This record gives sequence, structure tokens and C-alpha cells, in this order.
Amino acid sequence: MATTNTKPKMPKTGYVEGAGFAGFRHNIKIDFRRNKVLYFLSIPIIVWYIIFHYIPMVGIVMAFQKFSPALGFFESPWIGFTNFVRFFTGPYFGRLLRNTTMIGVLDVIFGFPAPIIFALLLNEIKVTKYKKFVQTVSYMPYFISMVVVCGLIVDFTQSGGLISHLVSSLTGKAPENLLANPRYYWAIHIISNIWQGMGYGSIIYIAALASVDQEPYEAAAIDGANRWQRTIHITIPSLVPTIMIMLILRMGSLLQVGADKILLLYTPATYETADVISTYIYRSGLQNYDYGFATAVGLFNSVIGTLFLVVTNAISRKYTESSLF
Amino acid sequence: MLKRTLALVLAVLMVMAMFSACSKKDAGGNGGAPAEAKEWNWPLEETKTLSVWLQWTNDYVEEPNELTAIQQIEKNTNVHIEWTHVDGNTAQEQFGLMLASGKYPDIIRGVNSYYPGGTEKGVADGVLAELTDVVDAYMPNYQKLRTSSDQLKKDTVTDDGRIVGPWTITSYFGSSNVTGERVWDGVCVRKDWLDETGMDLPRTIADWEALLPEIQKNHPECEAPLMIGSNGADGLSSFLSAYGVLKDFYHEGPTVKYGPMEDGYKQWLELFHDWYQRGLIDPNFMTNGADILCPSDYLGTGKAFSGLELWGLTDVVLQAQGYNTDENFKIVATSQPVLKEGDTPQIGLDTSSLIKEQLGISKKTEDLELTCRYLDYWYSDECMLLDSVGLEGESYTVDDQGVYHLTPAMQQMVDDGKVNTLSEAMYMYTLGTSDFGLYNWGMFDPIYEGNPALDAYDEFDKSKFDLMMPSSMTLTDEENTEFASLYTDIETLANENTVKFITGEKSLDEWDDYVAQLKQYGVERCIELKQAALDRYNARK
Repeated sequence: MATTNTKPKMPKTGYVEGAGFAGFRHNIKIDFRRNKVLYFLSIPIIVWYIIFHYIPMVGIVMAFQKFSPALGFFESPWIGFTNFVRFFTGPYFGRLLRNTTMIGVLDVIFGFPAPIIFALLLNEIKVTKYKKFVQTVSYMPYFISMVVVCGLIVDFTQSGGLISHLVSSLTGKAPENLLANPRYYWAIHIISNIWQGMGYGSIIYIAALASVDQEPYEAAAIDGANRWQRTIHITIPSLVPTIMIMLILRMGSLLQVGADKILLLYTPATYETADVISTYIYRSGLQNYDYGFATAVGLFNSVIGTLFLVVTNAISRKYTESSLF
Repeated sequence: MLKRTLALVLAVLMVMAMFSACSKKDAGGNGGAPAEAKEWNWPLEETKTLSVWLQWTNDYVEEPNELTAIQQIEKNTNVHIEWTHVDGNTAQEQFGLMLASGKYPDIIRGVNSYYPGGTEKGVADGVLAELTDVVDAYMPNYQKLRTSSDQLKKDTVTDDGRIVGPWTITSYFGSSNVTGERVWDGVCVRKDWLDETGMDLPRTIADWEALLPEIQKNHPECEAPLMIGSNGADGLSSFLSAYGVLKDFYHEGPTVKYGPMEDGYKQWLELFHDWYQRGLIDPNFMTNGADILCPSDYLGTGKAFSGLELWGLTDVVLQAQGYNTDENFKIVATSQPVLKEGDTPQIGLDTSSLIKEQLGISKKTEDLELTCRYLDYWYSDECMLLDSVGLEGESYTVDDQGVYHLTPAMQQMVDDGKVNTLSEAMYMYTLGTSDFGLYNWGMFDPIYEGNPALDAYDEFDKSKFDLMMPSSMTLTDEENTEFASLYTDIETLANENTVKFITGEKSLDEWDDYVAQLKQYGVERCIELKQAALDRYNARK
């Protein structure tokens, strides 16, 4: 690693530091030579991102157009911010924003810790066979198709359904159709999300736990720390970097509440709490072929999502020193 | 998921649009003087190829060219067709992709529902050909059918009298009997339970009012004596239409009205709220989706007593599917409920217009005359018979009285297990209900010969369509844009409140506030826009 403050000398092999652009080019060259195969392997992913994530961004222009597929981007008339104004001044803007944020935030508050707690609990199980069994069973719901999951939810929460009966025996009221009551929608949505995603989401934490150094545990045990104290003072701190990265990633998609799930579960009776930005896009944009409007609303959703991501990242960098960028 | 699909669609749209923008836009224009009629003889001397886009699926056959009738049509015309067929769930998406690709098939079925902004917009955008000047010369069969009744003349032109795309015309076995299809959906009840009460088939709201509590008393296990649509009113506006109102826009004489703000709608809400509270209505109606037909595990099992059903879904079918083993189990059809005896049952779903889908001819078609002539062949009686009942002697026979019967070979196909039903046997020959040109809804008569399913038609067919907006009424592009920007919010408000009024979550005392809110959202402007469109439709000649 040769670093000089005067004119940088480029060694034949090895990286250079602090050599400006020339050094950067030099490093890339070396890096490429060393990791040829890795670079080669990444090509499909890069191409995929370019084709499916970057090129389509040009489609954002539709948000400012009265878009017609036959005329394309080049000939559809420009209408400026009309689509945005229409959305912001529409009667449901406030409600949509509230529902989207609430479902997103509640999902993070309750849905995010669930896999962590689950992983910690699993970690305490010492019988390997039992542990593996519980782990496998908990993954299962993740692999059920959303349509089927929603079918199950609809059936169980009907007035004659299992969950509906359970709830009524707890509250003492007559069984009712839970999905028809706007007050219950958020709970149903989030609890079923947890049920479906907890096991699968815990994989990454279980992996992180497996690589935790065992020495501090032994030391703590000798010092007389009990299980609970060991969890609090050793396990959780060693999970924090993983948790923070996962949280930052999660915040970026905070507003992308599962529209497919809501479309399958909501009814006009529950629009009040279940109608979110993406379902509104579906009803007004796609069903009425109003591509421009749908794009405008979708763009708004993405911008807010990006804002969340950046803010969380900044907070995380400041307080925990783990961040994405 | 939705988002990802959208992203993908946008991606493809975008790439396609780039290519289409580079390719030239115009080909085969047809401005100027009307075309001259020439002598035209089928089959052509040399084979020509055309392409057709349509929504069609068949469990047994991969490609329309494998259908016996389609092969015969190719033989008769010597025109080979390259089919692009899409299934119903993805049709809209596929249509968008096809449009964006810039490669339009010569004939496109269903442009009126798939083209954003309608067929006229398609012509204005330079995608579809205008046919006003060529119909006389190139499409004699269609022109004759089109001008055979005042109603058809009105339905097949635009507000300014142009012809932008031929409509599929419905007939009962041919051009001599151009009539709208029979009503194929309606209210049904469990006959065995009805007989226990000793009452007659319910026809008026009062009949239902008396009957439903009896059913509830006799069968306490019946969860849903009456099944209704997921937004309160079902797809036909049953019960609601008794009050002279439909669930969205309708017309009373020449005046357009919006159902959810009318007094009749309020009276209907009062009735349904009362029934809901007494447990006469399905407590899970919002999630059961009985908008066109009841879920079979309800009507078939005794969880429900009445609700909508398709004409062909009889007790026999439900039993065959294993929903019920009771030999007394029987379902019968009744007419749409009316307020008082003698009223005409009204319906809010257009099942029997003289026209069905609209076809578009691509502006890029190489030989406009050939495309028109070929399409026109589909309006001939010969082609109608081929594509509805197949080949004489092979799939059907005609007796001395002119009645059509299926051949034993068709039944044999079912018996051999090649297909499940006689309809499916017929779909090995024809495009079935996905066809175009001159449509023959009578094709189900030989298929269901002697089957009690046909009895349901007698009841369903009593319904009239006086309140329905005409199906070929069109809004202009500007009107459409304004309408769409207002209507989503109005529809949301109306649906949401209707369900709340029925369940009692919102009291009907708040009706006036709700109507005021509808007005605040611009419902009156929507009515104005529809009114303008209806006025133009009525003024068509």
C-alpha cells in the first residue's frame, strides 16, 4: 500500500490510496483482475437492474402527461402538474395518506420486532431437532400464495368463522364479520402479516446469532450472569448492526403496504381504514386507464418512501454507526 | 406484486413505445371518396393471410385454427388467420402491450372496452381505420344487418354519424331473426324450502317480506336467507330496481339520474337495513361477492335460500358437483322483484342488447378491402351457423320443423370423457361466446335441449331494460377525462356509505348529509356529462 503525498506512484500490484481519480482507475483495474469471476457473476443482476429498474424510470414522464399508449411518450400531450394537483386536492388525499402511513408504521412497530424476538427465543432452545422443527414450521406460511392466505382470512373472520367465534367469546358480543368493521382492519392486516412473515424474516437473525462469538457468554456465565442478562447484554448488542440494516431497508418500503393483500381483503365497508394509496391508484388509474394519474400518485408514494429511507439512514448513522450509505 | 407487475408493464411499454415512435405512423389511409363496390367471390384464388386479436381460451384446444369450424371458414374463404388470443384476466394488459408495440393485428375484437377512451379515440389516434366510406362497398352483409332496424342504426354509428368499427350483432339463428340475447342471470330460490311454506314464488317486495322470515323460522341453520351483492346492490340491481333506480347512472325517459342519490335508493336502503338487522340478509355480504351468482357452497348447501344464479347453474349441476345429495333439493328461477303486482321487472345489467363487442380494423392493415370483406363474411348466415353450431351432419342436424339438434357424436364425446359437457363439445368446433360477426345466442338451445336449465329463461326474460344507459352511448375524450377525474371519488363515497347504511353503522338520518357530500364531490357535473352523451345518442339517426 504505497501512499505518498507528492506524485502517486502506481505499483504493478496492490491498491493505492489517496491518489485521486488515477488511483481509482488503477484500483478498479487491479480489483477487476483479482475478482474476475465475481464481476462476471454480477453481470446478470446489473443488467436486470438496468432493464427493469432504471430504464422504466423514464416512464415517470407519464405523470406529467395525459398519457395514451398508442401515442407513446413522445406524442402524448403534456399537462404539467395537473395529475398531482388533482390527487392532492382530492377529497380522499388525507385519508389515503393516513391509512398508508398507519398501516406502514404499525407494521414496522409490531411486525419488525416479531422475527427478532422469535429468533432470540429459538436461540435459547438447546434441543437441535426441536429447534429445526419449529423453524421449518414457522417458514411454511411464507410460501402460501397471498390469494390463498386472504381466502383463509376471509373465511375465518366471517360471522361464522373460527377467529370471529374466538373474538366473540373473548368480548362476549355476538360473532360478527370482522372484515366488515373498519375498526378491526389494521389489526387483521398486521397480525396476519406477522403470522405469514415472522418465520421467514427470522432467518437472517438466526444466521447472525450463529456467528456470535461464544467467549463472552462463557465469561458472563462465570461472572454469574443469568440467561436473561446474557441475552440483554451480549446477544442483542451483537445483533444491533443486522437489526439496523434491516430496519433501514424496511423503512424504505414503509409506504409500499401490500396492495395485493388489501385488494383481496378490503370492501367498501372498510375503505375508511383500508383504502391506501396503491389501492386508490388501482381503482382510479388502472381501472379507468388513467395511466398518467396512476404514475403521478405512484411517484408521490416513491418519493415519500425514499425520504423515509434517507432520514432513517441518517439517524442510524448518527446513533448506531451502522448505515447503508 | 401489483407494483412489480406495473413496473414490468411500464418497462415494456416504454421500450415498445420507443420503437413505435421511430417506425412510421401511417399506412393504408382511407380519406377521400367512398369506395366503389366490386364483384367479390369466395374462396379467393390465392391464399391470403390476416391477423386477429381476441380474448379466447379453451381448455382443450390450443389455437383457434384447430377448431373445426374455423378450419371450414378458412376453406370457404381461402383466408388464413394468424390468431393472437389472450385470456380474460390479462386482456387489458395484453391490449396495452399490443398497442404500445405498434404492431396492430388487422382485426381487433373488443376495442370498445379495451381501447383507453373508446373506439373513436382509437380512430383519432390513428390506430384504427374509419369505415364510414367503405362499409357500403366492402361490407354488404353488415350494412344490411345494420340498417335492418332503427335501433341498430342508432347503436352502430358514432354521435356524428360515422362508422368506426363493426359491432357484433346478436341473433337467434341468423339475420332473419336479429333479437337481443335472452336474459341469462337472475334471482333464484330453493324450491323445496319454498314448498314447505306453502307460498308461491316471490315476485313483489311484499312477497319476499313475508317469505324470508318463514324460511328463517323453518331453517334456523340457514345463514343467509337472501344473498345480495358485495356493495349492497348486485350486478343486476335486483330489489333496487323495484324502486325504479339502478345502482349507478340510469335514465328515466330522456333524463339521466344517479341512483345512489335518489329517493328510491333511500327506500331500498331502509328495506335492506331492516332485513339485515333481522338476519334475513347474508351477514357476510361484503365479502361473499354474490354479485352475479351465489357461491355454490352457500346455495348448494343450505347456507343460503335465495340469490342470483346463472341460467345454466341448476340444482342438477350443483348436485353433480357434490354440493348437495338431498334428492328433493331443487332451485327455481323467479322474476326480478317489483314493488307492486303488475309492475314491469327492471334489470340493471345489459344482457340483451342487439350489439355486443365492437371490432376495430387496424389502420395499418395492408388490404383494407380484404380485411373488411373477410369480416363481412362473418356477418353471413353461413358463417354464423358454422361458428355457433359447427358443421351440419357432423355436430348438428336440422329436423323438418327447422329445429336444430346435436348429433349423437357430440354426446359420445362427453361419454368418452374427451370433454366434460356438451357446451365444451361444441367449443371443439367453434369460438363459442368469444366469436364476432353475426352472433347466434340460440346455439345453447340444441346444447341444452330437454334440460330444465332452459326454464330459468322464462322467468329471467321477463325483465326489461328501460332504465339502462344504452351500451353504445359514448363520452367524448374531454368528457371522459373530466368524468374519470370526478367519478372515482364519487363511487368510493357511494359504495362505502351504501354498505354502512345497510349494516346500520351509519344511520339513514344522515342521508341528507351524504347527498350533500356527493354534490360537493361533483356528482351533478357527472350527471351533466352523461346527460350530454345521452342527448347525443338520442339524436342519432
